[in-house]
Amino acid sequence: MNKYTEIITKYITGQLSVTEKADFEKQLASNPELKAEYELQLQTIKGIQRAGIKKDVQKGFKQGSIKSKLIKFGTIVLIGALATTVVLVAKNKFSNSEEEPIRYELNEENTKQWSDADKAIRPQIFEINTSSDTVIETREGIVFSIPANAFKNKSGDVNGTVELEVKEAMNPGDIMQAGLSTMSDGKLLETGGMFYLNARQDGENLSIKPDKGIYTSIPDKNPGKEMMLFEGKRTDNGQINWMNPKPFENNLIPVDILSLNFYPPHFLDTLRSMGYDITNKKLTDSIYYSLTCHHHGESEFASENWISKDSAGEPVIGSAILEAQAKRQADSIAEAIVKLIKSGKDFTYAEPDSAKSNDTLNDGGHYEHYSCEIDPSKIHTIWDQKFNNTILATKEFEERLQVIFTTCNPKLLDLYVEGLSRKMYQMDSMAVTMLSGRETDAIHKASHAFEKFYAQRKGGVPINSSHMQKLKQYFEEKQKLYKDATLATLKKLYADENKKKRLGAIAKTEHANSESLRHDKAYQEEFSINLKEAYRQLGKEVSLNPPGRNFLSTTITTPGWKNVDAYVMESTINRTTLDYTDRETGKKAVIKYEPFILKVTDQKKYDKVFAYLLPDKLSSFQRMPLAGDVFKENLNELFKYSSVVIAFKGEDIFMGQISEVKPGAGSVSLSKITKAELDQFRFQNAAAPIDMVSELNYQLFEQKENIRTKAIAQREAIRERLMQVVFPCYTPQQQPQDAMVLAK
Amino acid sequence: MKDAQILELLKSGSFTKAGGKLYAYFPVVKKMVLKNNGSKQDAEDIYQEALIILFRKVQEGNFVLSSSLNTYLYSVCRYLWSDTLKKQNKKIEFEKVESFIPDEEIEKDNHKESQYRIAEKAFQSVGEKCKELLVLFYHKNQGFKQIAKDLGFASENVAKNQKYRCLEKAKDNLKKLKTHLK
Repeated sequence: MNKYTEIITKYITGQLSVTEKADFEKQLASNPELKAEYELQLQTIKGIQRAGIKKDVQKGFKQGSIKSKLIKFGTIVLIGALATTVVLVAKNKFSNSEEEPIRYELNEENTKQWSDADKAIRPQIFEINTSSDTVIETREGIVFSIPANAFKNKSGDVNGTVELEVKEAMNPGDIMQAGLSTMSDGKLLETGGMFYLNARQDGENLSIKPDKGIYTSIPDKNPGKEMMLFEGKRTDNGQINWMNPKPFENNLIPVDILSLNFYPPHFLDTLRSMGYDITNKKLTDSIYYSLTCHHHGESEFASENWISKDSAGEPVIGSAILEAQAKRQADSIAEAIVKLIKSGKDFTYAEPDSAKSNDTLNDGGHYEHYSCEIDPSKIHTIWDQKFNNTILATKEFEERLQVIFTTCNPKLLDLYVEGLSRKMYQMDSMAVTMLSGRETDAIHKASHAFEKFYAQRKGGVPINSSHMQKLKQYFEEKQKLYKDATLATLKKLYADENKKKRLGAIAKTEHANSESLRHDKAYQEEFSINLKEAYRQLGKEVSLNPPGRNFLSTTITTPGWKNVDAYVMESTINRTTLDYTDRETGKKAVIKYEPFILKVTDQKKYDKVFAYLLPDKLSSFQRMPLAGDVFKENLNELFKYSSVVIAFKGEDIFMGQISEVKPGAGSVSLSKITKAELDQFRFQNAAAPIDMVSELNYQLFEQKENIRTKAIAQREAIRERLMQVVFPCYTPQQQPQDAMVLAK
Repeated sequence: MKDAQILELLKSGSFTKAGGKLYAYFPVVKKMVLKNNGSKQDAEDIYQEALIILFRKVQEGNFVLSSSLNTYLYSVCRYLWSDTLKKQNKKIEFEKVESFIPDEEIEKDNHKESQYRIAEKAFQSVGEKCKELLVLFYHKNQGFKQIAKDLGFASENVAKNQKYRCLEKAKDNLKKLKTHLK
């Protein structure tokens, strides 16, 4: 060590006595070497301090920059609003999971048997504490709600930290890479994804207490199909056989009722087109609730009374209205009227000329199916927090309510409101009965919709336990975060003139589709930033899975592999023929199975090769067994197949495809692909994402303050226009004698 | 946040927090730089440099607020940017305002800082652990006990010795760099 450093340090830090100090200073003056060293040291220290200051400045600058962005675009509200949410969400311990696929010697059954899938898929590890309820969301969006004290070992209850290991194969690429197959005792299945779950403490396998169970919600990739949960059993050839199917619980997930949309279809859009700020719920509520249903006997469609004048001043009924009348569609009549109003033509309300039309609708008498429509005051009653945790406070009910509006039948609404203690599917079935035998188009469509709802077999709201409450909070929180991030993104983009023009063109359609906006790259990047920041403020890991409408839920009481499947058909692959009765025609047929033999070029050079048969349009993955040097499987005559081969050599992945497989012999060569290319495979029936933008008003950002105030000033005059939209069966207040001229 | 409060933050060593608050004065500087042939990155660099100068002066106890922090920072940034442009043989154009800090004063501070910039550069080439240690000691003013805990040294003394060694290394680097620059 340099001889001067220590004393210089002591001098600088004031550790020298008075005499020592004086001595040192004398030396400084006389000894040039010391002086140089002293100045060097000072300068060095300043440099170190500067480095420290610089780092702090950079950090502060960055924080200030993010905060200013947020303040500017109004999402600072996120911090305050969500401060009350305390949902314990366990984080994935290894966010860039480079963890080994097999981490223990024994599997969850305490044997040494591991399948190809176990060896291929890297785990996600979560640590939870048994003293609290925890919610976990996996990478692919499976949500586990784990109650406190849910685990036990040989000796009894388990306390403290528990390690949860999860593996997922929720996409075709992942399924095939893992060598997984969708077969159950020789029967073919269609899958919505597979996953593995196990709990350990200090490496020891735990079991799940049967009275507790882990409530599992899986994104439904095959909505409309009846899926079941299968258990996986490892076989000797490295595969997994799926067995013991159990139906899903179809419990409804309760949400905050105020977060749902109970307005009639097109209500918000119409308000928007008139210049209102539809994100202001107080405003939209007050407008909606101010419109009440009139219990008149007459119910001629008001459109009969809306006629315009042609160039000669002769009354003419708009063709759009005529057309809509013919279709008897209340909605389109209302829309047609609004359009005519917008066109600026001269409108008068004139006395209905009963002699002119021999339309049975216009007999001025009772129209018993439509005596009164859905009264806003009724909606006002149910759209209240006191109905939280009932079937009304669910996305499922929101969906059904939209259909109920189109039927104009208040009895349908009553059905659900009065059936709070029943299961949803019971009411769906009664709704179908109520709607049968009615003639109009709207009713017909509604009837179909309720049939589909019934097929979902949705149940009730599960028991109000604390961990279900946590789950509910989790979904609500996610919904809010996504909504806030979307709002912030739109605001930011519309603030930029150029982007606004482009996005405005996309969003100008009556019912702006978030799908089209989401594909815009600028939107995606900005949204990603806003979403991450929203989560960061909560101190949580961002969830990249958008809030979905459809989940399949069940309670899991055993660890291991699980699979979400539906049976494809009653068949066994091992047969050579099958007696088959066509469901539609009742005709019988004998289906032949013919062998397909596949040779893979240079098969020996790969470490692992999986060959698959993929029946057309199904989410089925039939792994072909090796017969000597080739892959061999029987093809069902009724299916069209393609074949995919995936192979591995070291870290590299190879793939080959045959798009149309024919019985007999075939061969394929493989080429190297990247993981990203493999991820391009998607399930056929992937559910459509939530349309968030149609809930938000793009015009919010185009509006200038004066338009808004002007609109509010004209409110009364416009009220009448709105009545038409909300109540197509509505008759204006005035006596038929008076002529009423409408402001343009 | 008032200027006085920000200065208090700085005196108590909350540089990051103060930096965040002071972001508010950045947009004006950004505008000035962009108007005069600069990029957004240039503006950021200039502004952060001005903050460093300000923070150091407060740390050394020789900062006196004569006008407002806004004016001070703007003046420093204007000086720094015009200095940069001079080197590129370009001129700077903007309005001269009375309340600005005189250039000579800023020049003095900047000149001092340039010495420190060189020292910082030399410091950057010591090992990561040394860097951490030295910053904790000289910037965060942490005691050896805490440093030993944070960085995993066996004892206070080990931390002390290590600090000397790291300081030596930094001094050597600086010496070499200085002879190189001559």
